[in-house]
Order: sequence, then C-alpha cells, then structure tokens
Amino acid sequence: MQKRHQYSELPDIELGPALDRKIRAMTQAADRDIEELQAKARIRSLVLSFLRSRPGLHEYVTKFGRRWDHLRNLAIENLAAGPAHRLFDEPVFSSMRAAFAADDQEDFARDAAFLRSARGLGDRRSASGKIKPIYDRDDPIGMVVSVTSWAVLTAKASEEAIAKEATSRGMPLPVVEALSTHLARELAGANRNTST
Amino acid sequence: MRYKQVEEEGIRFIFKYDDDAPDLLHIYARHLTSIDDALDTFFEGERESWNEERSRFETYSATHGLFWFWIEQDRVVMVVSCFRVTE
Repeated sequence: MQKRHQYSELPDIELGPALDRKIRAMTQAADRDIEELQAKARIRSLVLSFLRSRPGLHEYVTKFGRRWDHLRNLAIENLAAGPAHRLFDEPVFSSMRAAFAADDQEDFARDAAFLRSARGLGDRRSASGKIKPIYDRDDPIGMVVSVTSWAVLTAKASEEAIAKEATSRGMPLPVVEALSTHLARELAGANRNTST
Repeated sequence: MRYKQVEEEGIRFIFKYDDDAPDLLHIYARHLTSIDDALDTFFEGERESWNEERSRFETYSATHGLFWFWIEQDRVVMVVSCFRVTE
C-alpha cells in the first residue's frame, strides 16, 4: 500500500501492563460505539432513501402539518449525529421548545412526545446490549424509523419478515408494502456488496 | 504487549495490533482503515470534541472518524480507533 504521508516508521514499542489494559478496554468500547454509529448511519440512509422514493408518503407523513415535517427532518438529521448513545441532545430539544414557544400547549405536548419517542430509540437497550427500537402508533415517521431500525439491527432482510413486523406495529398497509419492498431491495444490495 | 509507532510532524502515533491477527493493525483488521487515514483525520479533521465518558478525543473528517488520546501531551498520541463514516 502506498503511503500518502511521509511518516517515519519507528521500532515497535512495549507498553506497560496498566496502559495496555486501559487501551484494550478503550478499544473494545470504541468498537461497540462505532458499530452503533454505523448502524444509525445505515438506518438514516435507508429512511431518507425510502422517503425520497415515495412522494405520496411524504404527503401522508406531513398530514399533521408543517410542524411534523420540521420535526421529521430534525429527527432524521439527528439519527446519525451527536453522541453515540443519543438521537436527540438537549440543545436540539431546547431549540424545538423555542421554535414552537408561540404555539399552543397541546401542539407542543404532541411535539415533545414525538421527541421523547424518537430519543428513546437510541437509549433503550435489550439485555444483550442491542438497541431496542420503540415506536409510536400515532407517529408514522417514527414507525418507518423503528421498522427500519428493527430490520437493520436484527439483520432481517426478507420482504415477508419486514412486512409482518411493520403490520404488527400498526403501520398502514400501503406503507407496509412500500417500506418492506424498499428495505428488502436495499438490504439485499448491501449484503451483496459486503459479500463481494 | 507490543504496539506499532510512527512519527509525523514531530508527533509520535501509537497503534494497537489486532488480537486475532497480530501482524495487522487493529484499525485495519476491524475497520479497513490505515495509518494514512488516521493521520489525515488527525491533521485535517473538521470537527473535534472530548468524550468525557470515554476519556477520548473524537475527530471527524468528511469520510473518517478518529478516536484518540494523548499519552504525552503534544508529543505522543494513542490511536484508539479509526473508521469510515460514509457508506
């Protein structure tokens, strides 16, 4: 492999047992964090590609109005950003509070519930340490995100399995069909790329 | 335990070898990244933050992430991990 930098090769070095133990622990933690970051980036990419492919769904999703559209964008943008274990950080939540300060309290409560449900996606873990997606039946984009997360994190790539899971979560049938077809195609493509 | 070390611009960078493939660096065996990727990100990264919980710096370029800490301030860097952030 050709070097891009002109760095000098130095003899290997022995590190003391204490520093060695520290580095091993840090490397293991980093690998777990990176796996989670890359899964989130994958989920974000799949959700975005699905939304872009379905103009009709965009209309469905935004039937709740301009606010949901804005929230959806914030949610998706934050899927791959920020600290590894959180989808939303407090500054984002505060900015939402400020943005909608003039609106009525009922609407704000709905927005806040959405943010909490989305934030939970990155916080809840099963006993095995995997992310445990949650969803909200009243939040269509949340369902898309959670089904996509489930498919990525459980490595379930068949159209039938994805459709069954999406249906069990209360997703409307047209969205089930569109999402399961899209995810099965995209995940199968990713598997082909990985195996070559 | 032995570690790989290189020097660039007056800074020594230390890399861990992989436990399962001891002739390869861990960043290559696990993440398919290289010493050059790590140096690129260290010197040209655009976003950098300190992760208090993990006791490490996290530096990102458009294409890579680098987790690292100072073993000796401004002289010796321990590269914890280097990975791709684009698909």
